[in-house]
Amino acid sequence: MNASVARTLVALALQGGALVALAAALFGGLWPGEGGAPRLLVLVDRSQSMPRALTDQALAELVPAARSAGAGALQQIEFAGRPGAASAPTEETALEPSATNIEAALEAALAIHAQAGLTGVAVISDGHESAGDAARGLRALRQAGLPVHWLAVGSPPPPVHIAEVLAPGRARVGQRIPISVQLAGQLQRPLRIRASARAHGGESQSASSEDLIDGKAMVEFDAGRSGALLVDVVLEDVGTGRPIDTLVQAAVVDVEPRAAILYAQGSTGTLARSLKLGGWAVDVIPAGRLDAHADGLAGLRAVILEDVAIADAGPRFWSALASAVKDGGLGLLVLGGERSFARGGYRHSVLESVLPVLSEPAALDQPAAIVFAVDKSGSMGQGSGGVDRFQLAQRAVQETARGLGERDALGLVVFDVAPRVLVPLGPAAAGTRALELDWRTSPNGGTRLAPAFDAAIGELERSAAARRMLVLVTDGFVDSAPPAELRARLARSHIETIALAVGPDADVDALQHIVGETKGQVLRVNQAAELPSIMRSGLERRRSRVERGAIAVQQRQPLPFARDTWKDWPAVAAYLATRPQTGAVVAVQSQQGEPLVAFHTVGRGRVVAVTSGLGPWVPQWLRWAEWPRLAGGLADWISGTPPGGALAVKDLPQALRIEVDLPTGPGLTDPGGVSITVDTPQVKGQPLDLEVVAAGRWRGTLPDEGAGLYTFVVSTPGGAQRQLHLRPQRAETRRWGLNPALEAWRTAGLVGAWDPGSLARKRDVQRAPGPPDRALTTWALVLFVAGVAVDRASGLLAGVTPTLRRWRGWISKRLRSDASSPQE
Amino acid sequence: MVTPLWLLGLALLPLIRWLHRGGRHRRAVPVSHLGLWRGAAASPAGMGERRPPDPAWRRRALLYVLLLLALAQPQWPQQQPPVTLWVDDSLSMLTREPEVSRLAAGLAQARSALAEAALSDFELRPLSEPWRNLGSLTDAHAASLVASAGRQLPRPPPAALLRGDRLHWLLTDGAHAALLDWPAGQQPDRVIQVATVQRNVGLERLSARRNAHDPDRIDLLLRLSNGGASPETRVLVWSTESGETSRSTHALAPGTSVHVPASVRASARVRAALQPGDALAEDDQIELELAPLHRRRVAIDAACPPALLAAVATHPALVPVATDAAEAMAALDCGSRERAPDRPTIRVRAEHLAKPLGGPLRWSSTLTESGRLRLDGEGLRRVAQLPARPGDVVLLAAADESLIIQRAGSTRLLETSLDLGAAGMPAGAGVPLLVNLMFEQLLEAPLLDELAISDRGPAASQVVPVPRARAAPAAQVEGGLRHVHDGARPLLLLALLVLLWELVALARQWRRLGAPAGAGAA
Repeated sequence: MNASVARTLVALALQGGALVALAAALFGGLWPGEGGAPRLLVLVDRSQSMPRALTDQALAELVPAARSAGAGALQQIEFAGRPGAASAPTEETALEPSATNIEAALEAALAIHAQAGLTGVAVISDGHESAGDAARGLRALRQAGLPVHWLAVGSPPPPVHIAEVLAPGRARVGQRIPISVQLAGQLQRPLRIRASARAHGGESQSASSEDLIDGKAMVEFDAGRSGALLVDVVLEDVGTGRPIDTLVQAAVVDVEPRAAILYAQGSTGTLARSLKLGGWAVDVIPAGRLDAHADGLAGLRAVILEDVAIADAGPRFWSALASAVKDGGLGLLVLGGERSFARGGYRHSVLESVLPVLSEPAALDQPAAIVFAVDKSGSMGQGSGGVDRFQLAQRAVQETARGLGERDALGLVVFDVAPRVLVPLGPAAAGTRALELDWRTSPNGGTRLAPAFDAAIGELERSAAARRMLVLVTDGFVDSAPPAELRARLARSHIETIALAVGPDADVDALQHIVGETKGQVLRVNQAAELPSIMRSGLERRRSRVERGAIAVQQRQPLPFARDTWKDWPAVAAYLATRPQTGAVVAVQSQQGEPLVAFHTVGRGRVVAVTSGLGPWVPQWLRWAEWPRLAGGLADWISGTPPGGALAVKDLPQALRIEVDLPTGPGLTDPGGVSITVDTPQVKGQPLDLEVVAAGRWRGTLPDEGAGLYTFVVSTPGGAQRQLHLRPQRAETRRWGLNPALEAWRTAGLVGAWDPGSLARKRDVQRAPGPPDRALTTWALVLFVAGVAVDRASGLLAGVTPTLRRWRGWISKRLRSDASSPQE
Repeated sequence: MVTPLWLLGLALLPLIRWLHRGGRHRRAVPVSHLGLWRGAAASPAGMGERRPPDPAWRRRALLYVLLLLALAQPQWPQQQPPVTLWVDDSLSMLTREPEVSRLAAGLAQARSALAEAALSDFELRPLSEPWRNLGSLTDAHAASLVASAGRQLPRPPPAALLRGDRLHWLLTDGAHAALLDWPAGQQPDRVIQVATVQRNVGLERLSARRNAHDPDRIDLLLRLSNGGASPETRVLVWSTESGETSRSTHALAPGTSVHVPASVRASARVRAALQPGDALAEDDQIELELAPLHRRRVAIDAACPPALLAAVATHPALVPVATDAAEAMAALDCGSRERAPDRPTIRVRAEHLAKPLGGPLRWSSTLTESGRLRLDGEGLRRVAQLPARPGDVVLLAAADESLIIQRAGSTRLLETSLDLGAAGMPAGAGVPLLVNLMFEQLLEAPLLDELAISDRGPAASQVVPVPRARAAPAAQVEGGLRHVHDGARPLLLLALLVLLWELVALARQWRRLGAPAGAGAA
């Protein structure tokens, strides 16, 4: 065989090889190596619960095992609270190592699998998760046909740690709260338990103990104020003071008030005593101390206000009370008396917004003629900030006039030494408009009251209104006016007088002498700025009506706690005239048809108003045979009946499931009857949607808003109930060992043990159809070019040889010339 | 081009021509005398002329170019892009339309559409199991989809599977708006919608629980919905193993639901059915296994105090049986017998005279706040020392004494030192509630509050398409660059043919070069 033939044969063989490679590439073949090798994705748990060294060791063992089993491209994703980037180092903090979300890591694996088919996923983790639902993620991987190899790596338990914290579920204000802390591990060295308790209002207390008996330490706290008390526990080394283990929000104790009912008395009544004798836990306080309970309403079931005026407490208390009633389900019973309802300043107050009656004066059936007599002497020009007393009096008259009814009449007299009628007595609407115009007068001159009284009385005497009222504003001395004569004239004309004595120089005693004790009232105005509000409220209180006498009583509706109506109600001696709120039920009324006992539900709270009170104005009721039923029934109803303690809260991975049972029978399916509000660690007063899931069973789901205290208030037709729930911290640093759920996942076939051999069996099984293998194509090209080169080797040599010869000749020539040069 | 750098190899094309510059392979022909070749023309080279290159260089250059182009992986817009067909396999897809179900009709439509498009790359994924790729739309897969429809709640496709290089078709009846709410606002490229039937009343959820006053009765609650577009009236028939128990008539406005309560005697299962049936027969009846509500048998030690025995006997979820009863799920042991090693047991310890508790009750944090009893501890006594061992969980304690302990071990064992039989126990439900608490911990199940539920999910009876589905856009293939075709394969096929030609040419060359020598030898 000559060389050409041999070259041709070799070229033929090479081209044949190229043909094979090309055909293989074209028909889906893969070059041995990473292209066709199983693609394994390794998910490495880098959360704080994972031991770094053991994890790295597992990874170091996995990689060569996978390679030796034929795994090709080995991708790696580190994850903790979130997954990092594939095969790229991620900042550990970016992974949120204080949490573990295995599901998110598995979803990242699925995303990679969707782009470029994986053969399997290996997970190095202890299986503990604080977010997501790993089982759901594993099921998705199973759907995708992606096997999961689990390399279980967990932290060993620490040498010593807090194993358990036991605490009472409830305590009463004033009690001691014992907390026991059980330790586990090596207890030989001196150890200290330090615990702190945080109350709702932010107050905290701490306690510590070094006395360990059988690994158990006891600490105690004071239940100082009602509300939730959150307990944190720290285990310390006595020698170094270094914390060994920390359990934040280890327990919660619900501190309840001493009594379930707070009873505030503005005057002495009988109900408090009756309730105490009947066994109710009642905390009786003077009305003036209500402000001290503004923060403690949450633990109460009800508040009773007996003849309490708005002025007895500050705005903060009234706001807290209204909120506790509407949002917290607190019951409220308001009893009438001389200082309550309209007389107590309830009209348009925050308290009135939750009451079943409106404290309006009965102005509709008793129109009044009102004349304002305003002092414009020079002393009324005193003031501060550019506003003088006269201007404030002007504003007071205007604001008060706006509150008058359509059938009322008003007039205005200004006076110094002489009176001037600015607005003659006439319809209130026209008078109010006239008052809004410029009064065209300014303070100057002296003060003479008698002419002013004359002018005002003269105006009022022209009126045929049922009530005649004179509102006098002055800051000066009473001159030589004859008090007895003026008083007699006022009495003759049936004029009620309200005198507002402005400033420290006003002669209050003399004014009181003129207006009298029963038909008049003197109100001291220390700060001129208070003049508008004092005038308005003073007039409203004066106009409010107390019906007195032997007033017959009728029951229109059953009381809320009784099925039937009662007969033979004893008469009452007095009551405050009110009218019912929209939607309220007037169960008992006077013979005039005005409410005596009215009730309604406002928000979650139940409220009852007894306008006659349950004291001196109802002397016969207290001797009545039904009195115990009435007093006890009212207290019971406003307190509400707990729905049986059947509120159950269950912690789910990403939510809380709340179920509540109602003792109302299987037929109840109206969601309007039941509601739940939740205070979460993030949001207060969040309503929870409920759904009836079974006979008498309601269910709601609350999305996870983090670890911490959740306070549920369940409001049902039977009453309201409060339930605390402490969603535990899922601290990564307090997790050791393996998640027991791993075994369940194995049993369910969701995960398997690490088996490198399975990779070899998976080779090429799941390769997604893609472009022809480039390695095989490249080999085809190389073989083809080599074949051409071999085939054309003679031409190649023929081309190269002359060149080589030329070079060789040139080099030889140079060498020869170099050798001959020295001789020359 | 995915990797255009390969095109740099084209710069070597002149080399191939250069290799072939010497003309064809010269064949050595042995002759007996040169004179025989006197008439032959002188070679061009000998005449000083340049010989033309071997024409084979063109073929080889072509092959070289084809291979380089293939390696550069050219791509061009595809006429028939790959398609993923997402199949809504919710219950409403089983509505008859009128001969076959919506799902079957929709799959047939999808098959026609796919045949028209002549697709080569196709995925079939049910929305209830989006990660499961059934592959092609075969009869078997269609039958499998129809058979499994309505068993799991479908969800919109996951974002990772909504790849931009595929078309995404959705087969749905449009009755469930949530299935049209795809991630990142994506929309199906094509919606195959099958929904003409507008009437359906269905049974969405049936739940059961023990009657609070009579444990032998079961309280039922059924959610009945009108998922159609017209007012309907149906007769609801309840039945148990013993036959029909009651029936009632219900009128429902479109889109409304009612809850229907009922009560039956304890039975193995309960069934509710609607009469007359409608196009979606699958939700016209619902059956519920009541096994979870069956009372659990507890082996009772006769030595237990009567109050404790009475608490077990009156527990609505427990049935006391003899100690040696094999079918008992748990045991109550008061010390008279050896404990069965594989049976969860509550052991009531009594070792000394009753002593009052030294302080208020304290609960383990393993018990949720709502799972704890509202007992103040007054009147409770303990009659044993109950030391905790490593791994145990103290569930209830008072002062420094454990009262209920869950022992560590493979089989559950609860021990209590409470004097559950004492006359001084608090009145009311103290003992029964403590017994219930311990058995719930032992059996890891809510005994008093158990429910049995068969739930088809909200709006399962909805068969009328939501407006959004009707308004869904028809198939629109987005910009030409989204769906691309791999161009390497045809180039390689061409290269394969050229290579075959090359092989044939080489073989002929070998034969040409080798044959005369062979002949000479002969």
